[in-house]
Amino acid sequence: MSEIAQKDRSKLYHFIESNMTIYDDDIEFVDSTNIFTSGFVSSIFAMRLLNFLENEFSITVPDEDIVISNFSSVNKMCEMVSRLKTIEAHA
Amino acid sequence: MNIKLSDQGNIKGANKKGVKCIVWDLDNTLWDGVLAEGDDVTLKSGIVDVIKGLDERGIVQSIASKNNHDDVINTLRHFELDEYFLYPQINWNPKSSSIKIIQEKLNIGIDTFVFLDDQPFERDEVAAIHPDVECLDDRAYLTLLEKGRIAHIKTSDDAKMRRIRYLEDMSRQGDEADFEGTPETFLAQLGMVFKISEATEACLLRAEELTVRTNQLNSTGVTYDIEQLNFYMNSPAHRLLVCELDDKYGSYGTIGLALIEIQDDADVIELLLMSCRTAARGVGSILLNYLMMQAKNRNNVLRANFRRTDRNRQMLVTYQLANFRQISKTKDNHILFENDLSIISTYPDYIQVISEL
Repeated sequence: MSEIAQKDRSKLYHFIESNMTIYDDDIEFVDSTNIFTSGFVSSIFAMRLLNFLENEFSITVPDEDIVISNFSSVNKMCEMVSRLKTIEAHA
Repeated sequence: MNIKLSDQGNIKGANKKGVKCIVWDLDNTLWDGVLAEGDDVTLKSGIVDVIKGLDERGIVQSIASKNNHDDVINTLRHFELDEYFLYPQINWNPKSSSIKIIQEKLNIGIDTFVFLDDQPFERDEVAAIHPDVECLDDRAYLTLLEKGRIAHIKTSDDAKMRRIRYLEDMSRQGDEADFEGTPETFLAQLGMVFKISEATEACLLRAEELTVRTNQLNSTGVTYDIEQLNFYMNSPAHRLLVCELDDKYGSYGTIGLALIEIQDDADVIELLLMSCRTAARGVGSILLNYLMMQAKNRNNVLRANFRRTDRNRQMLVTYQLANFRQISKTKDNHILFENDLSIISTYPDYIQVISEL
């Protein structure tokens, strides 16, 4: 399984941190933070996040992978990205 | 001769979709004369009535003209017509690219566009790139209001406000582009108020219009006419809800609709739709959140009928990331979602939600 490079992981981290106000000050945001339980994930943020992942990592996320468990944290998203990249590499 | 040519220019002659946007050329189309050649241009006879007539029907208008921007704007101001054109594209680029920009700004389907230009070359250029755009010559304005795709459109009071709403959107977008900070901080200073209420007789025409016009954010693609909506409005087993959105720039009007069937153990969303104009405000998930809370209060689960099309990915994302799971899917992409309501967020701080129910 291809690993997600640390710099890509940081980009994703910064994308979320800078797009969800809740992480501005009091709430600490780390790679394992569940964004669904700590803030309101609006439909528009969800779409932007999805577009970001697809453009940044050159993947297409199929409908069945668009589930909370794959998007809940930076760690989960990286797992999904590396799984999808592996599938595409073998396709 | 010209008329024939333009009729043929429209390859998909079967396009019967209601027109939402007219894009005008200017020189020798909207007015007689060529501005850049120093002509003292005069408006075509009767064209102001056509422009105002289209506007009253809720059809928005724009411009694709190869000209100097400031000269055109001054001339339109002189004719007191400048406010009628949204996102006018006055530049020297191909008109197909101007139309593409207008379409993206307005966020409506390209197959609802009509383009008028006196030059066959320009019509052909647009038709080649956008085969779904109906291209007409300059004389077509005389019969534009009687055209089937225009005359048959029913208009609600909300439709008549459409241009004003887009003008408000243009100032919003200008501010948003200038705004430094996260999109959420931008949303926070908009002072958005989202109101959910039961549909009434007075808003049924707008509700019907929403089901017909909204494509990207319609959960089933089903359209309902007034009689059907009236039936559901009065049915004890159903709830028909409408949503309005206001912010500091003005009102978006009625922008969302939900049809719910109340069963013994489940609330079932038969239809959920949001106007494309407000897609960038993230209000779809707020309505969905509201429906989740309502079902939970009744100790019901929440199910939703959904038909996946190539245009409603945002709706699918909204459902699935609100923890709706697919419990069945047919060959024609009809999905039944179910949410056990174990995860329900609170509304975000940047919007005030009012429900008069």
